[in-house]
Amino acid sequence: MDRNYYPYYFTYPAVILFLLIFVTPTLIGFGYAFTDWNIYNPEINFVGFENFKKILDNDNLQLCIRNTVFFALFTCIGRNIIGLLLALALCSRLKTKVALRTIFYLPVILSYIVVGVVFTMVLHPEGILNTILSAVGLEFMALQWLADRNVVMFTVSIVDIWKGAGFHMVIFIAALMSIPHEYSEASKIDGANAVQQFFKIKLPLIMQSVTINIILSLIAGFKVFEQVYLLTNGGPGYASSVMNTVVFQMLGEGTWGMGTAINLVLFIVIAVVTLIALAYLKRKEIEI
Amino acid sequence: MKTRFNRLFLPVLLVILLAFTSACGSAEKKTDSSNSSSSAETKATEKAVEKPTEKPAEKPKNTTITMMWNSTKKEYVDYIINQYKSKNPNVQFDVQITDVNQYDNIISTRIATKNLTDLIMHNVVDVAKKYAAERNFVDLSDQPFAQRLAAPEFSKIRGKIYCMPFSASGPALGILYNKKIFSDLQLPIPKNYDELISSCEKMKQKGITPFYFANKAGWCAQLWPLTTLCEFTKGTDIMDKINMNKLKHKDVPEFEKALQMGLDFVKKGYANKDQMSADWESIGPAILSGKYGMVAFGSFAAGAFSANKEVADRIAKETALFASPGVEDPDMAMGSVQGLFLWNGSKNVDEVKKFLEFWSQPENMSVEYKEEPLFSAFKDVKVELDALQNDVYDKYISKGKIMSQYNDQIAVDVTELLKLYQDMYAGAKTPKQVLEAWDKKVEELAKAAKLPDW
Amino acid sequence: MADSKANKKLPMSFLELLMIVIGIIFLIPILVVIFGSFKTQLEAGMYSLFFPTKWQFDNYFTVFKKINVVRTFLNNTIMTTASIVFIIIFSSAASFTIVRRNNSLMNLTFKVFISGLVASLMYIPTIRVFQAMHLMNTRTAAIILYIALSLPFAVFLFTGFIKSIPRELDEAAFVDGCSSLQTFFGIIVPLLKPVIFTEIIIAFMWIWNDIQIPMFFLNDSKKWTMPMFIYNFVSLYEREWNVVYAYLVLISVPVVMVFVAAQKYIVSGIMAGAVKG
Repeated sequence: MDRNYYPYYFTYPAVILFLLIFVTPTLIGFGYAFTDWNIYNPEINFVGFENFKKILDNDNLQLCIRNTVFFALFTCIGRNIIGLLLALALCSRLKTKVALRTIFYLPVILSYIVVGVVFTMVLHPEGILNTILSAVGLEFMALQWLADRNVVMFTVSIVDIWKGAGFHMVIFIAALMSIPHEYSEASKIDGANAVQQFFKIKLPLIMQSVTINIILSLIAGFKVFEQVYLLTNGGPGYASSVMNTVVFQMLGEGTWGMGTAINLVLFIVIAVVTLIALAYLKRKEIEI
Repeated sequence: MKTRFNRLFLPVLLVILLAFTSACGSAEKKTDSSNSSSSAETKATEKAVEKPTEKPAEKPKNTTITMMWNSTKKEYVDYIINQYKSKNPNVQFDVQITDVNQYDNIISTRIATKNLTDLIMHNVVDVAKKYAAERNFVDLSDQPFAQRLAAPEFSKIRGKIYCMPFSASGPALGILYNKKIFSDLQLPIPKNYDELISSCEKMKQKGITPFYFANKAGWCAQLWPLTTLCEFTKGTDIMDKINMNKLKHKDVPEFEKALQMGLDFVKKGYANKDQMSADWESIGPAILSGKYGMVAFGSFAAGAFSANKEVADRIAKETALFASPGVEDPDMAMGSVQGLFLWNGSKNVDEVKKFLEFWSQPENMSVEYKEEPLFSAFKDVKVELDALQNDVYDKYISKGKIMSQYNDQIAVDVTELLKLYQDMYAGAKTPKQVLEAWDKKVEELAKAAKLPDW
Repeated sequence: MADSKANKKLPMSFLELLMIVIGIIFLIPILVVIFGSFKTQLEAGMYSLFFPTKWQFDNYFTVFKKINVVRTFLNNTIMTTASIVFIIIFSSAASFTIVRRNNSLMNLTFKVFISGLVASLMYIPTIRVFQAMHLMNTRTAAIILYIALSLPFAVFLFTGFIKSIPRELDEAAFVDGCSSLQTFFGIIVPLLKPVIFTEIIIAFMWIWNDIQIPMFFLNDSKKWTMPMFIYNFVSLYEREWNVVYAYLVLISVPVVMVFVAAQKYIVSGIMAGAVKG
């Protein structure tokens, strides 16, 4: 039955294209992680695991890893909760729905160059944010958002949540829109309030989109680059550097073999985290 | 109904798009082949010319000169290109301006995949360190323009000239100061560090913040060390020893002293409170505001703010530059020269050489210098410098009181060093730790480059 | 019905008001950009939220003067549209079989696609692949690359949503004598409408604004897309913010239009859902 009605050839275009254009070059690329490939020398020598040993030696790297993990977890939670709240609010019978959805999606479209510059000004010690905070008497909260080593990672995460929530909102909206109205009508007639409606009816039916959103934000969180680079360039010093800014710096310095090695490590880490999260969420899908 | 429409709609759209893309594809392939292999077309045109029997007259080839440019679009570039095109109608140009942050990545990728543009604009020091000039770029030392250079030494990489330089030397780097503040408080130009500190003290007492730091920008955070480290190495063989792995930075006490001097401005309260979060764009308004006395900057100060004519004019008139007084009676540190480099694998080497020669002519260089005044690269081209630059020229350059900056003297790439300086100003590293970390990095980079002695 | 509507009226408008207020706060950085595009260079450099003292349209004229807007716009449109059509078709078809035919081969395929989300693009090996195919520096290469890079996300999205479409529907269609293609296009695709348009929004925005691929794979600036030319106005030391803002507004208009248009189709997905129920 399956063979006839769910044919393999449906997958051929996607798989062939993907294998040829993406998988092959990436695997070749990973091969370079085991060499001393750099810009100074045309010859490439195989060096085994030496690059990886150097990675473990590097002190700055521990800070990077911590920052990356913090960023990934924090933004995952922030983006999804806000995205979900927005989607719920904007799926109800509001008049200005489309306009509001567009407004909340706009930050997603904005290019990072501008985000970097505008937010640098907004978050400047004498910028818009601190001025407003002082004006309402919350002066103790007017911190050095981008210059204080202890706060900078938090600041960068908030900016990312602002920029990314709209993306998740759009996916949640698509999911909520697929729920037929009769379900929520029926539960209302049965006397359920909004919260119960959400947890018992809507959430189970949108579990797939929850999985998608969590996985996507985790991956994007671990792969973070532009947000940090354009806001702080990993600074001050190394306080806000993440794994990809280090890779970038290494590629810029010409030590490509090392850069690729860190890339490979990052890939393995994210892949492992993703697979674990995927398995966990799949179980939850079935449960709920 | 809807389903049937849907089913028709998609395939029809598909067919249209496929037709479109294949049409574009074949159109591209035509332009593609004419761009990437002008030789194929020249063979065709030559054959076409050969056909009508006699005429051995040379029909000029259609060529496109590609160039990578690393700042915003400049009008003089368009002007010079248009002038050349009017004299050589068979030549087209493609000026590519891309993300400056990824400029080096793009260049190194394109070198590795052997499809770099004919020309790139870059600075001599970076090309020397990162791009193996001998292997990747054409030696231009024998070109006529190279004989007219005012200061060829600054453009040379290991004895040869690989670029057409835009200036004789880089900009002067030192301490930019507000002339009015200095004259009001009757402060002398500090000839050494003690005089500098006493001037700071006097300014502080009058409620003026002596130093302005814009340490958010790595290239600003490095300016004090950049200009003082080389003062301590002048006339010694310290840098040679370091580059040959015979000496480490942390073992040179003067280096730690120089870094500490810079850090002390912050520690002794002579610096602005937002030193870590201020970006370079705030320097112009800051130095003109009367609240700050000095900032580590350079002779490009007016040019950097040229977008705002009023600020630029005021900077040129109201500020001046003195060499960072790390030692007694210091020389002025000079930055690196920018120029156009010709790629070795270019298919139009001769045409590009002609173009560079054309660019270097006085009537064209003067157009460039009008828009962007720099110290003239050529002996026969005069430049009208702004007051700030003229002052530096009179006091330091014409007297030969100049030296190359630290970044030019170390054999490896300094990106990491800028971050270490920021760490220092943020209080995360002591000067000694900065030097130790830098030594480690130098070793790593030198080994990767397989420099001799490492 | 009228009763419940009346009951809902009061709380609804409060929520609406709240959302509008939050929306405006959310919008502040974007307003800086929009207002800035009408300011002079001096004013734009001050990054404030104030209205421009005099609404300048010069910045927009500058953009049209300095950039060949028509050609770059065409480049953008061709590449984005072509890519999206193929992305949707390839990924929805592949996802269908991956979900329905739940065997180890398909699970492996799924994991391979997901790993594509995690891995970053390696420029040099990929460039060499295109050089070997003699496709380097062509728009076709860019389109192929966009498709390949979007597949992981699209497959991920589609598989998630196809799971929520009951198998019984396909089986009913098969019993009725429909072929795989008929079932796919006739039953599944209409039900996937919200997801398809969501993917269109996301892919459109990414491909339209992308600068990485033109920068590394299109070495002829005649083939560049609109976002690439922003660097004519922005560099390390010089920034004409007012023109940059105007440029950004211009680039973003099509993306917003696609978003708004697609929203209508997403809403109409309810119809399909209701019919199915």
